[in-house]
Amino acid sequence: MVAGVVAEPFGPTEESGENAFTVEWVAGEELRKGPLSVLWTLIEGYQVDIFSVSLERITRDFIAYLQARPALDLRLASDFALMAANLIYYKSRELLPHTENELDDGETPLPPELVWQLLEFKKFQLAAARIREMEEAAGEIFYRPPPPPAEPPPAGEEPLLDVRLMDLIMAFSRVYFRPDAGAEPQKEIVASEQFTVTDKMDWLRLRLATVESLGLFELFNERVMARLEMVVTFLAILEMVKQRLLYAAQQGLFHDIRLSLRAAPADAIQAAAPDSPPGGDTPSV
Amino acid sequence: MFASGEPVKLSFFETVAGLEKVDAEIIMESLRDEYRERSGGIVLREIAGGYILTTHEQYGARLNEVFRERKRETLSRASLESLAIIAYKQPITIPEIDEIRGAGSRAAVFQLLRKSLIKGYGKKEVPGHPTLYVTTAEFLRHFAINSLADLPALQEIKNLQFEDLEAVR
Repeated sequence: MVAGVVAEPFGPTEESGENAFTVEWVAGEELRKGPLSVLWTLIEGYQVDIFSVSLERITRDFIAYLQARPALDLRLASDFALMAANLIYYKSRELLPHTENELDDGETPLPPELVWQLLEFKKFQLAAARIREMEEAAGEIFYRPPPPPAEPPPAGEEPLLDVRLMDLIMAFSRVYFRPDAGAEPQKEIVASEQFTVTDKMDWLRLRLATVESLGLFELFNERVMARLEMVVTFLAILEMVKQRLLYAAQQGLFHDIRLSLRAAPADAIQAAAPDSPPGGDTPSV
Repeated sequence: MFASGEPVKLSFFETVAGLEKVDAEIIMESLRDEYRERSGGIVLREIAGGYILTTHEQYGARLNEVFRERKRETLSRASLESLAIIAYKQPITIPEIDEIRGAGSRAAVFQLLRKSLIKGYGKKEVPGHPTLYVTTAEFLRHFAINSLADLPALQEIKNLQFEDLEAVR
């Protein structure tokens, strides 16, 4: 069970005359809060409005929070470091003489860019909470899933599902990440084979010229390929699909993806057209 | 509608029943009201630009017990924030999302892509050509709304009292 710390306001202490902070152990979700979330937690703890928050105080508390934290989610570490650096930078800027307004107790308020960033974030944090509520509400209604096709297709014809880009990527990663997949280039051989996307495209064209279609798994299983070769081959497949030279289809949800050459006239090579407008259906490949 | 399992567009009714768009709309509206007044198990809703028969929300709790296996994975906090940002500001790039969230959002965005809630839609004409992201029809279906206009309006935070903020914690 992962644990982390959260700062909570404690009460006035003798030495500083302002609120000190105690730390509590909290599990899970708390740990994944980003730096803006943490800043808001601190601000809410002060119980003043955002324009009256002291820059020194929040910087001090933010850094104290970071130091008190035994386990920081590594993915967020750089974001926190950046925020801490920004806060210190704002503080250093205040050292220059200026005629900005000051807070009642002589301390400086938060700089406008930080306030703006905090307000924007809060806007979307609230929106996310609303969307979460919508998600829960949507979980309360049910509807009938599409029925399976009534009759099996006539013999010889295969029903084909539209293959999305995500499906191609998932299929390739299944092949690529198998423990026995791919060979590492041998270290003794200095000149390793060069693989280019163009070469692989030609190779695919050749391979597919004689057969009606070829399965993705079959293609990668024919022989052991160097891992780089596998990647380049996959890139060639994607490029050919984008240029509408290749057609990818799937018989069923977990079937192999079958590739076949399109009977394309030379002018079928178009720049990738924009997808359908936002909110529309995902395009088929 | 009952047979298809997918939201049915108004145009379908126009064509099949040979109706004008206005008439078709009126009929659907009255059908929807009828179902509501009946207070039965089934209501008519508009989701993702089409009409669909669904269960009444008051039976949600019971049905969730029955269909326990159909429980959907909910999104992580990072994904939800990213999704909110994309929904309101689409099309938008990952660096822009990062800036609003103050945190890296790549992983969250990929999770959303895997769930087909968002998709790439062109690139921004700036150095680096980052991909622009928008929400999909699946997004509308997942949240059971008819269109992006049904998203609640963004609240501008000008003079929030701290009591209001408590609600979000």
